[in-house]
Amino acid sequence: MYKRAEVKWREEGDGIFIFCPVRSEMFKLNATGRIVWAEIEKSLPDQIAKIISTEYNIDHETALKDVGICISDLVEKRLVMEV
Amino acid sequence: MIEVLNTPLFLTWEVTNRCNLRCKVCYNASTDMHPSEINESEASFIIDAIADCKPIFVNLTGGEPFLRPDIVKIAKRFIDKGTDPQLATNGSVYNEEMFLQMKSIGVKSIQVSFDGFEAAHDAIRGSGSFKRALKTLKFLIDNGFSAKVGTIVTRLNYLDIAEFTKYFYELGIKKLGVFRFVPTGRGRENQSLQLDADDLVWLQEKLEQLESRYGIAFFKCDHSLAVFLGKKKNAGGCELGLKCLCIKPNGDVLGCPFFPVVLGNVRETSLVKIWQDSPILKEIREDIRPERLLGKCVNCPNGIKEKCRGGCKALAYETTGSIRQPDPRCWR
Repeated sequence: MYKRAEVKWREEGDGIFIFCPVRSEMFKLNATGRIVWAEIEKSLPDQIAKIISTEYNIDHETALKDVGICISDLVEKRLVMEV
Repeated sequence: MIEVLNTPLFLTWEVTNRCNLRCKVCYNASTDMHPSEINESEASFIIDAIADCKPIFVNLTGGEPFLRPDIVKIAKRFIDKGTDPQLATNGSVYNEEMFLQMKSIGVKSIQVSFDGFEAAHDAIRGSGSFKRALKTLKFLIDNGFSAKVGTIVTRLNYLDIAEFTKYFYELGIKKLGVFRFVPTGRGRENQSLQLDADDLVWLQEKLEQLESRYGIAFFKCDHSLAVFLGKKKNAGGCELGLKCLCIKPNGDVLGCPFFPVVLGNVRETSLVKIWQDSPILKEIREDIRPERLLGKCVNCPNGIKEKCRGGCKALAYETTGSIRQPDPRCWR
């Protein structure tokens, strides 16, 4: 996965704002989404899930499911692209 | 609950009040330089103040920014600070050397204004202005800029939106900004150009069809057509007090380019401090809470009020003196 070059973001509190200047749309991700965004270009979903699972003390399966939903959402919103 | 960010996300800097055109829709009534305009030696300070906010979008406009002799230096300092500014131009200051300098320093995004096809555009902006703007746009496209078109929709041009979109799509434009006419400044003298509520709803639906058909990205001011929710997801209401600030040519800071109340001056107070501590901003943030809205907003469902925030606050203020009143063009 890689972030689209035109996308800009800023961390705010425990979340993150992501802005696509091409479509002038803004999205806000929560704390989980922030971790996904930070890791998406360098880690596999399973690895990201492990980070989240440790951070929030939740089981790996739940974390992996959340990561999958988040990534699908980012792809649908055209903020990231699959390699 | 209204979420307040640490600093604004979007910043507009009107780098000059000077303009070579006298557009009927100008919210600023731009003419000559402001008598206490931020000068070249102060510009670095302003840029640093903006960069301190870590905005994710900076728009340099005016007046006409390309009339400012140091505009390339200004843009370069932004880029050196890690911020990619967008420039918004009327397109009538054709200067290939300056455009290429912008390219060489890394400016990517320039928006050129077109208020309809030639007859409508020239009726708003002056004879010959369409041709000059088109020449500028073509040069920008040919030289690899991420060129955008911005249009203010009025009675003179909105019915042509489909042909207008097709025309610029075929030129290679992928981003088209559709901005609602907010009759402040010189625009106050031309209120009859405003669209009514039904026209705005028609337009919103048309834009969604066109977006789907051409894949062209329409971007709109949040206070604009996106106010009419349920038509487009991720639409948001007025961002006054919540996400944006505007710096006027003399350093005055406003909550939005159209909202005339001065929050402070960046020559005297940091932008971050204005954003976080301005009593006026605090009052604005209080007044735009759904439960504080008045008029027809009282009976509007909470799910809509929370996002819409009563529509364009600048227009509400202009027409009623209160931001708690609804947008006069609310379609509900």
